[in-house]
Amino acid sequence: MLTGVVELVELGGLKEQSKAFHTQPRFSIMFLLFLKRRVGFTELKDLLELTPGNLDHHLRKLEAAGLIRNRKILSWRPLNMIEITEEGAASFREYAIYLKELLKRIQ
Amino acid sequence: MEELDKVVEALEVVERYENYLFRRAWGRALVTIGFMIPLGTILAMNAQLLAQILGLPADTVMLLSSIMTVIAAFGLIVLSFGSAQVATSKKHIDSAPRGVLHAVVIGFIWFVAFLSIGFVPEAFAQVSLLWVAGVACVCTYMVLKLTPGHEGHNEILFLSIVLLVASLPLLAVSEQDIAQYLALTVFSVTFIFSGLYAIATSSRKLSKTE
Repeated sequence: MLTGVVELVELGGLKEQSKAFHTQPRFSIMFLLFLKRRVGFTELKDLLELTPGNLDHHLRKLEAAGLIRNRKILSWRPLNMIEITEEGAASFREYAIYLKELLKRIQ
Repeated sequence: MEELDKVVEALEVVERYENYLFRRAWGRALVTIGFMIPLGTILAMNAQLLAQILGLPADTVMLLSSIMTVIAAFGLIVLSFGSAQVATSKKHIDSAPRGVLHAVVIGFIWFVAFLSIGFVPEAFAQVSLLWVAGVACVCTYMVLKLTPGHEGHNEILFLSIVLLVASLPLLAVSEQDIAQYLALTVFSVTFIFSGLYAIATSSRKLSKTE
């Protein structure tokens, strides 16, 4: 059983891009964006209990990998909205399938 | 497993975000009710005057204002909850899907409540709106309390208490028109205040400690 898991983890077959969200906060950001498509910067900061600088660092990493984009929206106050890109959604879907396979192998 | 820990943590984040969106949508719904219902009622109360200005029969104006109020209020509330609705219920892996049964039940409660205004005895007509809204709020609070993941909307219970208590002194007002306008003011102020409170405190749902 464990051999299968090791094989899967080692082979992975995942795009290099998906490694950008392997850390916990980035994974949570991607998961939330995958489900919601867009979330405000302030809401993300409060949800993940990160400082603005720390969240900005994680977002820049994801943005550099082309997984998300940062949009400024003019509402009754300026809003910073974080959106998942099509590429980001596809990459996360691929990673979710990989996790599902991983679970199957464990069972 | 590190990978699974990540998923569990991410699921908690999504759940907290959903609770935040629900509370915010609920607050917007209360503000909408607080604006729309009194506005529609004032229009209906002044149907005669409006009918003269528009050159339409008073009954038509009354009917149109009621229909437009219901459609506008219902539309805005559906829009508010619709935009907050997260398409994740099927994707939850560690909990049962929440479903929308509670929303249907709450919608039905409010529909029946406003329908029953006409059955309140004439002597209490001036406070009928406050009474039915108060009872509907108590029922809504109980439905939410019984719905897993939606507990803790205490402001709805406070709202119902304020509505019912505030209706008592209005019974002593002998002038029917003044009593009706006072009842509408109480209704509007309490609903808008409760809605704004729910919106202002919705961000508490984002933190892990809530």
